[in-house]
Amino acid sequence: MINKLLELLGKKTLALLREMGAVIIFCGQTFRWTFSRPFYLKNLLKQMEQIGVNSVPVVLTTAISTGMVLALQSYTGFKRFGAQSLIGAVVSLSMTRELGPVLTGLMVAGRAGASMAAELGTMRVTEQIDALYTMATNPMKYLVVPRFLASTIMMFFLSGLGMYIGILGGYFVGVKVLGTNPVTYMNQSINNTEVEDIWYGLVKSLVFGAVIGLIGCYKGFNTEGGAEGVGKATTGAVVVSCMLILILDYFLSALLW
Amino acid sequence: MNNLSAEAKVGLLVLGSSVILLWMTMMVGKFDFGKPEGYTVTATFDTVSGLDLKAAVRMAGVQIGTVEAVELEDSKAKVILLINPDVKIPKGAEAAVKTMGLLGDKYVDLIPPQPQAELEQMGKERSGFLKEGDRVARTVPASDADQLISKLSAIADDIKKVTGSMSNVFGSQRGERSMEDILQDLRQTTANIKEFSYALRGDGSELIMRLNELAENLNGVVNDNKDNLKTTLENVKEASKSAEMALASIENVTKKIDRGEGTLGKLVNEDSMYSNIDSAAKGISDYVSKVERMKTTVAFRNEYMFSESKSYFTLELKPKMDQYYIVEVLSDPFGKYDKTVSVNNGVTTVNETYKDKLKFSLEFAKRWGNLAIRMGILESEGGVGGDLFAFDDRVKFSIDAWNFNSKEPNNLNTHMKATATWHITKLLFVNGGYDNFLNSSRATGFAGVGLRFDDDDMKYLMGSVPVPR
Repeated sequence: MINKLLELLGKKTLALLREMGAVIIFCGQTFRWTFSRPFYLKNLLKQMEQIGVNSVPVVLTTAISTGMVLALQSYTGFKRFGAQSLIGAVVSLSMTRELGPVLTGLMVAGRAGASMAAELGTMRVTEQIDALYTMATNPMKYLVVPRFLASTIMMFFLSGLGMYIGILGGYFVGVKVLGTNPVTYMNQSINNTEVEDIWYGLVKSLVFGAVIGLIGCYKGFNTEGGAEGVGKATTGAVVVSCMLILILDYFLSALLW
Repeated sequence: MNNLSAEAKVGLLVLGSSVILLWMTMMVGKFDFGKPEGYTVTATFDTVSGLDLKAAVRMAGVQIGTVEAVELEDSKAKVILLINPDVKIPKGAEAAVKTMGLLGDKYVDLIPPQPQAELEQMGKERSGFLKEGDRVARTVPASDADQLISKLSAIADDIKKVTGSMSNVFGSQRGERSMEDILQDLRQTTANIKEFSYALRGDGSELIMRLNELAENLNGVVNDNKDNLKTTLENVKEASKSAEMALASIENVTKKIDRGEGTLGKLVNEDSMYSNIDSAAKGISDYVSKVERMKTTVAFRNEYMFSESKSYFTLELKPKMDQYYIVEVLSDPFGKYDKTVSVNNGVTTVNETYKDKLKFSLEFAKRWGNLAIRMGILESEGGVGGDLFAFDDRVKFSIDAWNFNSKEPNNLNTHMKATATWHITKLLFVNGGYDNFLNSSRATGFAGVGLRFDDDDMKYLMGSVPVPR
């Protein structure tokens, strides 16, 4: 009995370690193939459109509602001690440092990470990836690198857009709906936000983009079994990348602060 | 969007968000390319706890620079302030570390010195503005929350001491006992009063009767001794008279001493002589300063009315900043109209004259900000006027009205005159306007030019005039 429990624990630990090792090897290979010829620019562009451009509506909607809610909620809090003018600072600081990159990351993970895993998983189970090997095409280079690069680059721009739109939403609610002084609002936003805050947010979003691309591709690349496996891979990609985003967010914040 | 290629879509997104990001960074960041402009002054504080680099430097609440560096110099904090190039800080300004609100940022407040007029009276002179590298003369250190708390706790200690000694007095057994004694005494006293008032109530009517009797008796005594009293009073009167005489002679003696008669007097008087001279000197200086304080302006001007011309000599006396007197002598080409109707042997002769071409004005003026109102005699008639000053008094718009009940034909309406004056230099001014615009036959525009001398020019003249005492 005890033997079996120990065995189970050992198995799980080993499986976790193997998985982690596999992910790290996958990452290393991706990085390695990123910087070697040939570059599949056409593929990269297509993925950029898939991951980046098509995510714009989702990201904008999320960001604007977050900014608005943030303004509304901090208003009720700040009003208690008459510091409504600080809403601007709260909205712009939290949008740039935290919510812009994280929410954009979660949205992109849900949208693009899932589709990556599903697409690559389907290719795996229908043996299209093996076919690529037979055609002397490196599937890592052809399939993974463009997706990884596209999600990293696009997350940078998407979260920049998200920050701006979120601040705009906060401004709209704070000034037009709640009636705080627009000049004070803007001054508070600008004076309390530093250039570093924006860059910290953007660095975070780069990391999140890389995570989304890598996890999505890894899960898809290692799909086993038929349609069910594809489903599992998709779910796994979304869950793992979302969790990783939130966990890494803490460490990045602590590191960059 | 469908007819856009994938490249175009990606390009659009990248371009759009790059522009937004760049714009946001520019908004938030303060990019000073190259060396920041401005000049630096230093200020040394006892403590600048909580003052950050790049903290604001304010004057009258307006940000005029930033804190460039904070260094330690002789165990004191030396703060280097970078001031915007277009801001001038008067010498004698004071620097203080202050806090924005209760929880806000620390900043350096520059307090300009008192207004120039006050400084002059104090005998100091403002000597220009701070330059690059200058040091702010006086500083007030940061008053942080810790200091406040330590002061408060000192006060609390004092209060504690007071309450402690009070509790020593009242709290000890001896104190308690003496309190008890006091209370006992009080109780006894009130009881006595009570008793007394009861007794009074009982015997009240009898007491009043006795008093009445006493008064009657006294009356009798006084009546009997009326004559005696009279002589007594007279005696007292005489006595007081002689006392008065005695006082007078004493006074005489002291006066003699005062005048310096006798050696004692001389000794005493040396001191007073000194003070006399002193007060005399003070009187003279008072007089002089009064003259100096009275601002005097003299002006000559000539107004050309396109057919005639009118000359003015104006003396303006300004005892206070907001109140002045204007004395003016002018030559009016028209003169003062007068009509006499005399009936001589049934013949009515109307004698119309224009005399007194030399007229005078005497006005009292009061000023509020950029507005002044004048009233008094204008061109030998009762009149009022108003002035509006602009551009640091370099430009003046005036409107005058006088001669309210004119009898002169063709000139029956009130004489009104609108003038605009421009002081081109301190000395030279020109004016122009419209004269007598209520009387159409006399209405005319005019243009004039004049010279104006004020105190500084006059002082040389006045200084040589002997001062009557």
